[in-house]
Amino acid sequence: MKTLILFLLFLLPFKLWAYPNYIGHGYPSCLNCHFNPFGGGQLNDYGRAVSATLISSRTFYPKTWNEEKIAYTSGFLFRKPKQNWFRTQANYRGFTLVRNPGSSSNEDKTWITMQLDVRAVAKFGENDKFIFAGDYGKTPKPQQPIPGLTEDNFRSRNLYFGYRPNKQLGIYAGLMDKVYGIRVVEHIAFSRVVPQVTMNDQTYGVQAHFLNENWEGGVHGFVGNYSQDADLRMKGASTMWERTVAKLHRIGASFLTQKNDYSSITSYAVHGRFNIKDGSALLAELGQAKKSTDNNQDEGTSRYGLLQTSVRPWRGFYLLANVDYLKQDIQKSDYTVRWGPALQYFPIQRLEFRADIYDTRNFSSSTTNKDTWMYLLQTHIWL
Amino acid sequence: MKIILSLFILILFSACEDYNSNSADKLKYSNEPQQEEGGDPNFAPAFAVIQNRCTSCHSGFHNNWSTYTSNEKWLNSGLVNRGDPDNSLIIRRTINSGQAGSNMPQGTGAIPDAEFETLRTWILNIP
Repeated sequence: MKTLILFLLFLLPFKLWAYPNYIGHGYPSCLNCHFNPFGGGQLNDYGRAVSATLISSRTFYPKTWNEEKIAYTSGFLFRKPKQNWFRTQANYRGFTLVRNPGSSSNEDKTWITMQLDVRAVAKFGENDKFIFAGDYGKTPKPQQPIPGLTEDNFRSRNLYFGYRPNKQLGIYAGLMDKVYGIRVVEHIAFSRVVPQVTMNDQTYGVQAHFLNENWEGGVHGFVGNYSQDADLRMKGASTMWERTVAKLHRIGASFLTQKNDYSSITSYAVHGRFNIKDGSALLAELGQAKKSTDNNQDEGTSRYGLLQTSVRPWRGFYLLANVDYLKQDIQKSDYTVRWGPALQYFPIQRLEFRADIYDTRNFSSSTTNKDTWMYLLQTHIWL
Repeated sequence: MKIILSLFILILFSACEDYNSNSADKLKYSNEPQQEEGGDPNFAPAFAVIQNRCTSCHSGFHNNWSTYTSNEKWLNSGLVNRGDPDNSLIIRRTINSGQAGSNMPQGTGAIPDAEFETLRTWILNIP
């Protein structure tokens, strides 16, 4: 029966993302809360307890419950795990996206199931030095349909083996996100789109993760995603390093180079994650990407920037503000800014409501553009 | 342990062709000629521009531009006038006329001049 349930869970259609702004809670390293040391993917037991006792509101928990009891209920299906070697998680995230709200001719309202997945981690050895992690779930229809490809499919975004002989060093091999920049939740951020590190850009490869008191970083060699044709697979290497400053903040730098049979991209960025205390944080990233293509289309160097503030007025609530910048071609004066506020609310652990407003403005020396507005209302449930 | 390993292997091999940021690279960036049936050398580059700039929005049931994979389909759509780019909607809509629906694509920068010319060249020379 247990086997059957596990099997059925894996057949269910899929992404819990990293929240790098939790440096505001005093967690500079993703390794505290995630099995993947660079963030994203499944939460570990400690991460689950943090999400229950620090991130989520306690309004809906009985007043007689202390934080310890709340933490005990943070496991899969509200249970404290009965064994130490296997952990699982299921996620659903869907949202209403409204483009051009209020426009009689152009308003476009869509419901998107962004995430519907199951995840599992098997861990063995002293201090869980061996882990085997995977997930499987539904991938939403791409914004840019690709002729000849299935528009809606199921896939694994993580499938890797990890060996961590000690806290300072970890080696991971398999399908993972590329190591680069700040792994923000907003996968449409230019800081993710331009260097091609979005929600679907995982690759097979080997990562090494290093951690000590003042430094954290990693190197990643990769060979592309084997579920793609060989000519499309991006092969390359990346690295990202962060230094702890004043015990609270992180400043870092990244480099990524990748190539397939038709294009190549070399990206580099500097970033900072700053703890503003009491759960509030500031994230900033500035980078450039140089792209070359066989037929010279889309060639050139782009510059991008990200600024995100996260303010926690009280437990369970976060007020976010995003500013996203893109200069598609640094030789030209035209650039694009997308900005807007967001409200994030965690009424209880396992439940997140989020509302975002985005305004996109193009600054051009040759044309005048109208702003483009959109908003999204999302619900995220995880077990 | 054997069960878990089996499940992971199942996952590994059950995935179909995945798409990501590079899935259209061959279409957009290949130097190999990708002519439509009928042999129009201008079609593939123009279609690549449309894929890159337009189809993220124009992907609804009635205007799924990625399915317009031939000159005939574009001519039938009413968006393109053979030999007359200036009177083709797909060109006119990219120009900022101050009217609703102009100044495409929305929400991103203007189409680069070279890509704009690729579209014009295609329409001007449709056989």
